[in-house]
Amino acid sequence: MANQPHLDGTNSIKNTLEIKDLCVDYLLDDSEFRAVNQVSFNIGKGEIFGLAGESGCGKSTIAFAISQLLRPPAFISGGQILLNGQDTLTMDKRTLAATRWSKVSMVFQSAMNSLNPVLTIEEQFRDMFYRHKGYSPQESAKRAGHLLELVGISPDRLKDYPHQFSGGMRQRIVIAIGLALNPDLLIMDEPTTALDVVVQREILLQIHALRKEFGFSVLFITHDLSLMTQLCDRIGVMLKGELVEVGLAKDILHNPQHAYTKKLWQSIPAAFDHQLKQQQAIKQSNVVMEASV
Amino acid sequence: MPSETENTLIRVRNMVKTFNTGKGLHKRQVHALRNVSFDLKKGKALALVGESGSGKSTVARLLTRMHHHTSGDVSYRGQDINAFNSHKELAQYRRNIQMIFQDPYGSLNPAHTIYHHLARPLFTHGHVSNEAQAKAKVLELLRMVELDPESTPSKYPHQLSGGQRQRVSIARTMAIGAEIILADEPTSMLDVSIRLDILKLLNKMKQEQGITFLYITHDIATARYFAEEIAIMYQGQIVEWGDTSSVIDDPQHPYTRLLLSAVPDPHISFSESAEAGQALLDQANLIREQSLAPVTKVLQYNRQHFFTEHEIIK
Repeated sequence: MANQPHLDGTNSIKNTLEIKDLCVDYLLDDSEFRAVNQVSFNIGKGEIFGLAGESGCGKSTIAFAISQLLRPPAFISGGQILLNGQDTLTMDKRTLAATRWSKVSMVFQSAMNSLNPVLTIEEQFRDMFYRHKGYSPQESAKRAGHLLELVGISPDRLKDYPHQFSGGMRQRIVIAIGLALNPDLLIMDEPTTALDVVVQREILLQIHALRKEFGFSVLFITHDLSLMTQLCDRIGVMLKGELVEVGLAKDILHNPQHAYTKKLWQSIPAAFDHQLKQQQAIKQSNVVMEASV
Repeated sequence: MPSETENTLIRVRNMVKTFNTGKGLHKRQVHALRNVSFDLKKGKALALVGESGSGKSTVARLLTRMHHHTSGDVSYRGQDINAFNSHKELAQYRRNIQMIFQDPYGSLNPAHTIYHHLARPLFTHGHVSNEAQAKAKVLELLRMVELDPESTPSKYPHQLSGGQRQRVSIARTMAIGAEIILADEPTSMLDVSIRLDILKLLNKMKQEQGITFLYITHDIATARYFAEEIAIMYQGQIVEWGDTSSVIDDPQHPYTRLLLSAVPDPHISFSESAEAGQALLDQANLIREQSLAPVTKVLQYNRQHFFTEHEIIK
């Protein structure tokens, strides 16, 4: 495809994020536990990169490491994290604080519960705009209204409190706050796991459209491999702290290389008729291959 | 047909549940279930699918008599479940109908061993009379749910993985001797790669021992894998039901179509599905509003597949 030249992630100038040999350890009583082991991957500009894996495989630890939010006993024991070519690990505290949210913003699974219940939506935006841009309350309200429109919520509702919104709307508000400073990278850690499929679809279609409009990159973390394959350009599969396979989404689906990726696909039952047929076809071809061996 | 009625263990007709909440001026009613009807047939699984808040867990709570239903008829083998009033009758009924919950971490007592969790129901329901019998029975149960019978009994819940704990929950329902299991999202808190193993175990119990299941889920794919019949629920009403493959491959109700269009399908990329699904999603709020209105008519699509029509709102 001619209009997707950076999908292989080799062109380093175009990469929003480069992670090289990242290691994260957790300090235990008498030893260290390596949660992330020698992980390397790139995310191109405007690319949606997915990290798949089971709970405890280290995918969220990577998300925290990127924005330097790991707390003891976890620490980064090796490797490099380059954001737009700059090493975030060697940044001083001030630069780092300015980088967070303006360059990298995060949306978590329970993000909708991270809104302050006693502040109106307008006030939730105000603090962030004041810190990073020095906006006045009026400027901030104007910009916040604009952002709400982007995620499909009427700006009239700026004066409402979080409990007056549904779960899906709250999650969209958090995404709007995440996009407020035009970040280069949006990290989404299981952003829709707590939501219904219809709401999930609505939110992800919006992310998909916004990414086209603003050109930010996305690191998308989920355990739902079907959803990830639909949304992402490239996917990395993690197992016990190691990245075992990285590839284009369609290759991960049609031609998985690592045994663990295959196992993940096999453990997802098919919902629709055409999927059932496809799965049966794969099974049969496997049987034929085994027979010929 | 007499054979059909014999096979129906639970018969629910027009079940209504209204919760009263608030006090004084804030008093209001929540209509959790509106005229829900279905049958549970011996050795079969019915999947109850819907989004959170649609009332699917309320159905399970009413069937186990944790709450009374407001109106409607619910019968177990022809007997009205509201007629079970004495402690003995209720215990007898609950021996036959048991639940498996979503959270395997929360449904086991951290202070007791796995042996205790399984032996206690054996004693309380009088299935065994001494320790030796209990031990033998516990080993048999553990073998059935494919846990190691040697090492597991002395372990505590925190020493087991999520999937193993869910197996203990399943063994516990079998210890009681349940013939109907209400499984409320039994796999949604487990990792993808062990979900299928648990479903396979439930499937084995269904086929080999003729256990009847009400499988409550929001995951269409597992519903298709496990259940012969499916009922789609929205805001307290069942809007479409019937043979699982017919409902999923040929949905008739607009809400079912909306729900199915949102299920992730890895073979269709987002940019492709964005165009096709957008039209339906644009109508999402309208479809939700229309499906909220009371059901006026039930239409039959084919022999084993029904859907509803709603009051038209202006």
